Amino acid sequence: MASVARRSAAVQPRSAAARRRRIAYRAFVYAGVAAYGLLAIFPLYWLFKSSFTTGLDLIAPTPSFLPPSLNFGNYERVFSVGLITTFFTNSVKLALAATVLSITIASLAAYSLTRFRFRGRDTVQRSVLLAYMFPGILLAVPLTLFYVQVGLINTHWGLLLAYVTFSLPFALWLLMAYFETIPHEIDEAARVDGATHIGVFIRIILPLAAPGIATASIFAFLGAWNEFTLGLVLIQQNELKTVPVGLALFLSGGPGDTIEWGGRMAAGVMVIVPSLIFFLISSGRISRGLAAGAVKG
Amino acid sequence: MRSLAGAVDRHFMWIGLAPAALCMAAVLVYPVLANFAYSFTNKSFMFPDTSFVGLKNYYDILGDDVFGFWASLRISLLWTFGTVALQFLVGMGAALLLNQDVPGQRFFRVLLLVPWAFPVIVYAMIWRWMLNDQGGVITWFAVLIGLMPQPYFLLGLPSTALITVMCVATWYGYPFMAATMLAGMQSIGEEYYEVAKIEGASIWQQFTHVTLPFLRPVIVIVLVLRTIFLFNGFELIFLLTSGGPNGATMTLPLLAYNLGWQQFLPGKAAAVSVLMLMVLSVAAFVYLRALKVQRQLENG
Repeated sequence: MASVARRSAAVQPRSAAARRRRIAYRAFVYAGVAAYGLLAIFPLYWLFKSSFTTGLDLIAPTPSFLPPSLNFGNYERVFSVGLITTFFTNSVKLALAATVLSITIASLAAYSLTRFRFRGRDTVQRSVLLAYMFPGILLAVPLTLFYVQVGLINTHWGLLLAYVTFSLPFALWLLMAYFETIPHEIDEAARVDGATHIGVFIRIILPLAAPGIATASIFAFLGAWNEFTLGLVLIQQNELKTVPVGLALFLSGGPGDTIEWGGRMAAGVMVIVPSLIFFLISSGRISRGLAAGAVKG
Repeated sequence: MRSLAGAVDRHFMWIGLAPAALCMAAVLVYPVLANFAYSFTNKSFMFPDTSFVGLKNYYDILGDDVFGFWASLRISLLWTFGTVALQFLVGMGAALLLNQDVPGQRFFRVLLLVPWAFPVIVYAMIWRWMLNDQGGVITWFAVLIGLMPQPYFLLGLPSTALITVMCVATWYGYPFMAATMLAGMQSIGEEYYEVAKIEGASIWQQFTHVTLPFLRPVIVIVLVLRTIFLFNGFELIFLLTSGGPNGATMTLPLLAYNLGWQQFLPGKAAAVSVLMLMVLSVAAFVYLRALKVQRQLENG
């Protein structure tokens, strides 16, 4: 009680001048927040708006801030160019497979790294973090040459292997932290009662670490879904490309090519809508993962 | 069957580690080592015959301006430190604002995450369109308020391309800074600010004497990590300018890509990436030092 009284005394403005200063300060804060909000939202709004704008309306001397009409012409054109559905199928397939595989592999490894003691364990844990800081572009040349040798170049299997591996460090790191919070007494008790490691892993650790597994899965999925560089260098055939790389094909028209911008924006919207749904469902977990340092780039 | 299950249980530690270790070995460790080896050869993507050329690749890259290594290094450093500084300032501003009690705070915090929701290509397209000289809304606005005498495509001019890419990268990256610093700010106890207010500290003094000292560990980590990630940054620049116009935005990752996939000189590309790795390991060393110092401070 006493602390509440003290707090309100400290916050209470003491004079008219102080109150005016306080109001000016609030106004400044609101204006700042509004400016940041606009900065975040306007580009997305402009994407949606432009996707419904066609022809000469796109290069009108004064741009209209509302779409002239709900014209789906750009969307039809994107579909008629084709491949966009192929890109989607490729990306969904790859991202889902990469998520399932990398979470399975990472949780197994996290179990070993947290449930067994062995020499060099700390080194392994630390190098996981270093691997996570490793730049993708440095791998482009050697990975391409390696994949050419083993016949994985230009295949989804090759890309899958790369995506699984790239999502491993963060997933491992997050899952190790989660698994550590599960008291060892629980699984030791199960071991004494005759449970195997597989049993402990599947029946005790996985259910208890479900929130961590969900967070790690979201990041593995987003990582694969958004990945560009390796998709660009490891796949040459258009039919095998993923959404980000495929979308970049739409850009090759060059900056002067104005009429096509409507179509590009429509393609952008098609990519954003499913991501947006996924994002809104999982934003709580994303922000917690971000606080844990999940994101590169 | 029973004995197999027993064997699985006895060696479960290794069974658990093996798949992860194999993936890492095949896709991270082996390529990095191979990359190092390739940097001493005249490797080609197409021809199987390769011969050892010693330090020739390094000698060429460091000695011959044709390959543009030094110009690239300069652009890389400008890009990295400039963008980190911009992201930090904008991110700190956002975190300070969101740390006040504003209505709709939750909404704004979700908004901070927007950049990670979608592939970078979507943003690259939006910004290229907004910056376009014909019909671009930013160009239109800049002409309207007199910032530009006539519509220019800012990404297409050698003098403005780099700073424009840096601004887009700031838009893309400040939320990460803001989210991290906001989390740090919220762990600062209210009582410190109350004491400061009772002592008559102004808002600026509260910031420099309470907020900043408490945030310092978070700031150090976030700055070092960001520096490393931006130095490695490839995608956004590639999609906005591809390193052009006339090499104005050709950072080291783009130079490596260019040497490998445009000029088909993977040996030279490998050498550039080894040189990048050397610069990076300095940064990683600083990072690990910072973590260590911090841990020592925390443990008293």
